[in-house]
Amino acid sequence: MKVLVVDDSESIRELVGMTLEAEGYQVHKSSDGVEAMDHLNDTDVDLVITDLNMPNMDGISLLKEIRKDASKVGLPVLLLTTESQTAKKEEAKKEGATGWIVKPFAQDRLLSVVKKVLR
Amino acid sequence: MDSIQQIFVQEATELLSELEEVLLTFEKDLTDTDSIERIFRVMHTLKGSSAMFGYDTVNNFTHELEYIYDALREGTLEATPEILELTLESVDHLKMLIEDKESQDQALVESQASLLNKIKKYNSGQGVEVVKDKVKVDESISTYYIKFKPFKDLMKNGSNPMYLLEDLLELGKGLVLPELNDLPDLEALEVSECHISFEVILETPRPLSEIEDVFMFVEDTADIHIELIIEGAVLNEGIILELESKAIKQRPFGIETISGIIQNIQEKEQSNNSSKPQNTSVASDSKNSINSIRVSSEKLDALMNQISELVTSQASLSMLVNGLEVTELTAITENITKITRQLRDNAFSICLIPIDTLVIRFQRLVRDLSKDLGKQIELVTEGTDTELDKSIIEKLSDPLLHLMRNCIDHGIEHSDVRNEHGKKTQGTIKIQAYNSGTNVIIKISDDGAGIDLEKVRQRAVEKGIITPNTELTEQETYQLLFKSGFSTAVALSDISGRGVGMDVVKRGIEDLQGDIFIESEKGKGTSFTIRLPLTLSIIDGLLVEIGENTYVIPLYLVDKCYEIPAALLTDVSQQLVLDGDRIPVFHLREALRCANQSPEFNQIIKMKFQNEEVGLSVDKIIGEHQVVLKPLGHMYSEQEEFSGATILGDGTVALVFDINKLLKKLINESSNNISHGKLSYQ
Repeated sequence: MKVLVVDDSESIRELVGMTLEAEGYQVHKSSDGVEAMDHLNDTDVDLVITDLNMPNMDGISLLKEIRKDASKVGLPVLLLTTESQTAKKEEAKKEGATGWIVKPFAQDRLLSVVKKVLR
Repeated sequence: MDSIQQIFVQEATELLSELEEVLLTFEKDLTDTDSIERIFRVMHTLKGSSAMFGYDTVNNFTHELEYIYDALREGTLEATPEILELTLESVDHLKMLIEDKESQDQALVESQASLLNKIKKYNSGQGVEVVKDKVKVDESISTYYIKFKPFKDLMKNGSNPMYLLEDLLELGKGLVLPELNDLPDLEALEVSECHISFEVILETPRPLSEIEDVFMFVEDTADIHIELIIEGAVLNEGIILELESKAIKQRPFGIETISGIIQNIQEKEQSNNSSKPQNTSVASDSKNSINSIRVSSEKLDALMNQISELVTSQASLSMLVNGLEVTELTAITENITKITRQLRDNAFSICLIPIDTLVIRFQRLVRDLSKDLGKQIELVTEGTDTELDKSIIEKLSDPLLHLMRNCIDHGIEHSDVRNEHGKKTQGTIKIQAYNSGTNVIIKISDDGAGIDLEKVRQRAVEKGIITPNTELTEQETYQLLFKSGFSTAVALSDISGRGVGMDVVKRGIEDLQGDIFIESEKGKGTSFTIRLPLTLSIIDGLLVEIGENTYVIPLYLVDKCYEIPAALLTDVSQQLVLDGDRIPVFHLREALRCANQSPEFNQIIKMKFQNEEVGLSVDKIIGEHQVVLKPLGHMYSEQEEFSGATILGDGTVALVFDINKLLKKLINESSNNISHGKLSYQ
């Protein structure tokens, strides 16, 4: 199972990556939406986990781009949010986000959400 | 984890310098919205990651600070030099906080308090605290009725009703009653659409809001109705049985019917409860049960044979029924298909035996041989519980034995040589086995001298296998070891024979539809990697059409398929660029000399051959097919390119390619460049 982790924070990227890799997922990483979209056009993945606030292209725009693309129909997208971003949640929901993970999250919480989506 | 923590510290430091830089730009123009946006983003990132790495003070502090810039963003607050000054002060403070994770420094704690006070002045009223107080769980259980009717396109955004239901059931004990009234006929069913709706009776101690949270993302793509049936738990066997035994056509029951049923049963049970205690324990006599039995392998062979006949017959039946459109018959046929598949899988697993059985023999071999040769060798095994078809294991024994002998004899050096090179006195031979897709990989590696590429080359030239000018890749050079009559050992020994071994190894493995690679590093060791299919008798194949005939390509070999205009294919062998890589493509129509008109588009099937990508072109891909391999008669024994034939559902015969041999032949012919040397069957 391939997961693309998109976050401008390297530490979060590595942390999410390490957590998923320990469970046998193949983790790809991008640092913003533009890079992520390039990656997705190149490689098929099974799940995208993206941060909301990023330079160049933020999480919501990335989500919109993905939902626009016929070859990515049904690709689950999970958003990393913080508790204060409730308004963004609504927007994300409207744009077809699969779910979200609230930062800070425990590693097993992340895994349980990912497992649920990838079953 | 520590290294990631370091990444965080480094990152936080970078973020803070970025913040500083932006603040200085911001200072020049306090109305610059871009700067505000950037400051907010950087703070937000810092807040998010600091929380993840346990820097709670940083998290809380940034959180407060962020409110100011959120307000600036929203325009509810106006930027002033004081705010800027405060932010810069805060950045300095944050820098120190990053270095002091445990907040040991008392001075820092104090300056934090004073800074926070100043910050909070700007957040008047809205400085909501980040308290992660849990929603209080009400211990009392309530039972809810949930009607969940997904719209057709629910699954398009990646949701799946199954997961939602599972999430729901995690909240407590529940009963899910699906309703299928809107489900179209199988032919008309679009798999990406959702046609089933559900009624769920859920008893849970959680508040209603948590149930609503489950459906958070699907509110707009489903009808959801949640209602309290009754306080307290009501789901017991009686009620579940009553609800499940009602005709499925009566669903959805609706909340009235369900509460009615619940009440009825509860009343009945109350009157019964006094009368008889239930007898629950059934004595289990597991002590005397038999766990396994021994069966002769002939019986298993016969069973497999019959199952392969069954698979073929079932395919014919399915095909026949498809044309008839008799609903009842279709249902029965589908059931038979399902059972056949299960039966096949079961019988398969019976015939699989662990590689362990082979390894025991090797333990002995290593011990005896190393003693004879005066070497110290340890055998390490990994994953030997990996299972393979028993017929493969039988035929694998000799090749593996020979590889082991090679490792012991040629691979591992004598103790004194090892000591000289600073290696452990005791050599190690490792056998690793694992599953990879529908393949089993067996890897035999030693930490011995490795293969000397130059020596192999010289030897091959001496033996006339290659000319001194032949250019070979590393892997190609290793493959020379498998040529018949090749042996590099200075003196022939009893152990690994007279160089007849390695080519026999390779042939043995190829007969099993497997392949073998060598990796080696001079002075470090050598490893042989053998890839084998799980089973030989029934395989999943890709059914393709070439000319007027159908052929089967084993599916596990297939990497990717491309559709390309037939005009691009000009020769039996040529190079094509696919997905950015140039790979050799063999035009099977040409190779098989098909006379009929080529279709406008041909399909290229990309696969791996000896670790290199190659493509084969076919006219049409028909689809996946379960192939029961039947041996070809002796008339065809010359046609090495086919490993067998199979009977299709409509009774016609399709030949199954032995891709290894086919490609080898095609490559040979293209390198010999004999234009009239096209394969001559048909």
